[in-house]
Amino acid sequence: MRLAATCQTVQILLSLLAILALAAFAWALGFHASPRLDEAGAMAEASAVLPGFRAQSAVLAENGRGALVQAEDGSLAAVLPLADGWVVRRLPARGAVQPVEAGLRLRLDEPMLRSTILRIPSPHPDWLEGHFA
Amino acid sequence: MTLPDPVTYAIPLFVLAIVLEMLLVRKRRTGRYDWRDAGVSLTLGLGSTVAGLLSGGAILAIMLGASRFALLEIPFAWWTFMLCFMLDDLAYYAFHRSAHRVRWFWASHVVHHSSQHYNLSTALRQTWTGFFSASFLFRLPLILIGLPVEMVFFVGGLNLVYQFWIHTEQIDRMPRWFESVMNTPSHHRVHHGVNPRYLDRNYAGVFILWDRLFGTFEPERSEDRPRYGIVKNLPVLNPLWAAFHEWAAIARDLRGARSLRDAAGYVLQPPGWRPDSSHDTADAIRARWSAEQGEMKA
Repeated sequence: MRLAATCQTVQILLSLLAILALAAFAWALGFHASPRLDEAGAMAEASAVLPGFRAQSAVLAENGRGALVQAEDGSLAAVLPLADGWVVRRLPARGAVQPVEAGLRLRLDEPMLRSTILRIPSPHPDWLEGHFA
Repeated sequence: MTLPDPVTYAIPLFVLAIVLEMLLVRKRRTGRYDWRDAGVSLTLGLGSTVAGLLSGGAILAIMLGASRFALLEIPFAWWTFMLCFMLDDLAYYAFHRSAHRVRWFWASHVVHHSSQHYNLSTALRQTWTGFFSASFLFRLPLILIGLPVEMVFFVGGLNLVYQFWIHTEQIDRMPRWFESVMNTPSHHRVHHGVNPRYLDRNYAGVFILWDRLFGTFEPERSEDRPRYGIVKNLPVLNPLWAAFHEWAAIARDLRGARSLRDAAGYVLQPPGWRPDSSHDTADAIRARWSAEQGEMKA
């Protein structure tokens, strides 16, 4: 019984080492990109992910690491960076965007994503200021 | 008869195949890997193995207990292995369809779909809460028919091993005869796609025949390349959150439920169901998308 438990512990430790080795190998092969968006890419991402969202305009965060996108109907979506990809969220109609010193604070009210800051410099486009809290 | 666990023997091959796939992705520029995503997938795979070790004894005891009520005594023979493999794959189809259509089972299965990548490491992104969700019950009919418990576990392992290689973008299409009978990378890419037309399609484990038979088959289209993940992708790369987020969401919804009917809906209806009919279920998303397509054509 004790031998079996020891074997299983060793197997788990070896598996952990293998995970670290594979992740390191992936990193060494160059799979650690942090891509940047342009306006067309941000609009395409929001339109592709959110059913019914027809992107009209976008404003990019510094270095293209995120964006806010407005749809034809005036609704707003955030494109947020996650590893080598993006996570897209619809924002509430009013009060979800607040200018702060570092950029714009987005209130998302989700577990693990209560709020986040996109480094979008001012001046902001008129369509975006209409969404400010 | 004592049979080995095929998954244990396959693990070194899994590792080699992942290394090979990474090299191919780099060389061909087809497919995607990210070291953080792959790390989370592999960690979830290890966690699933540990969860399996902890719950394996209980599942075995339940299966052995059920075998006392078996209708027949089916012997070990080549043809019974074949029969068991087919029936187990049918049971897998039933489980997998339920895992997408009933939120209770989805809460466990969502882990496997929580990556926005589709590669061999995604295959190992497995649940930690399979025992809690009682998904093993889908194999119980096989035991009650009279198939030996060891055989059911063995073919279940083979089924899992088969499903590893189909999690890749490195293989476009297999020969036509193979695509029509077997589950393939192309069919399974559709299953992992969140494009409206692909949602809740291609539940097969080994034989795609089940989807063709039960009306859930959707072919992969070159003009609509699958986007992978879940309808609302996770905002963090955290294995713990990936493993438990849907259970946490169920708990939150149950706390806010206004009636027993709503509470039952939150647990037993499809993922995305809401009591006020503002659903984001796969069916609702597909219906809205179909309507939009119709408008655009008109």
